[in-house]
Amino acid sequence: MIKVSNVSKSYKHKQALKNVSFTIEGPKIIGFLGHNGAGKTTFLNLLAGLIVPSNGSVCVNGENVFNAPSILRDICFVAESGNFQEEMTIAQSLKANSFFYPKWDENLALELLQVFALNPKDKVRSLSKGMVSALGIITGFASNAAITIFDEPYIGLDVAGRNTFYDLLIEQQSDNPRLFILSTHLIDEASALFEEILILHEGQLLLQKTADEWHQHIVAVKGGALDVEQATAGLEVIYQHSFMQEMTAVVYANGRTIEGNNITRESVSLQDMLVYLSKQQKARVIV
Amino acid sequence: MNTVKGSFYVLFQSYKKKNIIFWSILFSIVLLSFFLDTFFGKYISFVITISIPVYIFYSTMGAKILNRTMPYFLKLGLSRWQYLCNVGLFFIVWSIAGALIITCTHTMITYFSDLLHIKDTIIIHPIQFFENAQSFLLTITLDTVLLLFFLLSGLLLNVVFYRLGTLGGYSFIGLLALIPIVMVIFEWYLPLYNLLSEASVYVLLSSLLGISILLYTVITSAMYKASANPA
Repeated sequence: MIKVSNVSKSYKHKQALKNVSFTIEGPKIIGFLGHNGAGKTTFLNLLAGLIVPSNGSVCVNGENVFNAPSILRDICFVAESGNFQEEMTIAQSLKANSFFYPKWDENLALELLQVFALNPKDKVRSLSKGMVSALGIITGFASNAAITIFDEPYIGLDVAGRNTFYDLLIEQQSDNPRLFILSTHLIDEASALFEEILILHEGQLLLQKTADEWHQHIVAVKGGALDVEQATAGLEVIYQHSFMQEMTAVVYANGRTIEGNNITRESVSLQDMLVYLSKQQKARVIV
Repeated sequence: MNTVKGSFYVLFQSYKKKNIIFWSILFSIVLLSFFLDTFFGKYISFVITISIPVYIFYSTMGAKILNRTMPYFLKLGLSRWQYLCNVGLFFIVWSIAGALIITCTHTMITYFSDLLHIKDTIIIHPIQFFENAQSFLLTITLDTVLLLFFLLSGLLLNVVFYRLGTLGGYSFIGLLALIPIVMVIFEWYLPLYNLLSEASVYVLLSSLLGISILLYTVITSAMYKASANPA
């Protein structure tokens, strides 16, 4: 269980996380989402013990993760970059991983090398971006770590490679259930995989919902301006847009049934939600 | 124990190529100097130094290790303390290996010089400052301690740049540059020279070892809460 308590993280000129608190329990696949600069990577770095929080604590099974090797060996963090030593070959990198992850699956690693068509003798330095991403994916799956974090794991990978990753994720989760945290911008592709969704927005946790709860909580209401305003009265509006006589309001329904005349209710995709949040942020900046 | 093995494996693999290149160049130069000395020794005297380039190489390697390896090892789940422990152990082994190579090369050059009756080959080494102490074992010990000291000095410089950024790092270098100036102004160099020339090799060795331990302690405490990303 991951327990995040009042975590803030400030850099010189920016507060990346503002008093964030939540709890995650596995095994499940979690979508960790937010637009650029929302604080996702900062949080994932905190969870992997790479940086120290300015305030608060990140605990796994009751123990603070910072400088705690007994906890950290059960966390595999596949970051966007810098996961491997450039002077080493693929085979050497995988061998190095086997020393640090107690549940390392050598056979799976070798099998996945073939799946992603990687030559073990190639040096990391000579690999393309997609190949380095594939090596990161292999590390993540073969580590068998109780908490496996993928931060933008498929930069440079083509559609086939990304589909292979999704298939492997499902396969691994059914064979060896654990907590996968996936942070990605390709939300449309990955959204069907998520069992739980966390959205960070401007350094704060905007929402944490299971996939089933999502459709009940985030609703787009369409209709005449007056009707929509009446129907959504008292609800928090995420995004509002008017075109001609029709208004669209995306709201947090929080389980409440939205009723009204001449209105339609639609569920909102994850991708659209992030677009709305981004627009809301831009509008605030412009104002 | 596995993480120590793993750290050694990664550090060895990461620095293998650089070491091979460095030693190959150094040995080529030494070999060339030796042959030139064999044929032209009558006209020119040759001075060979192996240890000094190795000290410079080691301090350069020490000054780069943090940026290259710390984020990687932290991602693999090591704590900062474990990382610095493993790096410290690796430095000791690396210093012993370097000292062995230096001393063996010196011995070989001396042996072949005697064999080929080359009388005027001069090998410069810090052990020559101590006239009564030039045994094989003592040379290795002195080189080990010196190499360890240079590695840790490089690492300390890396820590300053890592924690304080470019501005802080260069300010630190500026402060270090003040030391010799202050020494000249207050004429501290004379008593220092006298102290060093009168000290026995054992006193110097233990002092260097003490300074190295102090440097390592400073480094460890400075890195306890360091981020995986340099300042």
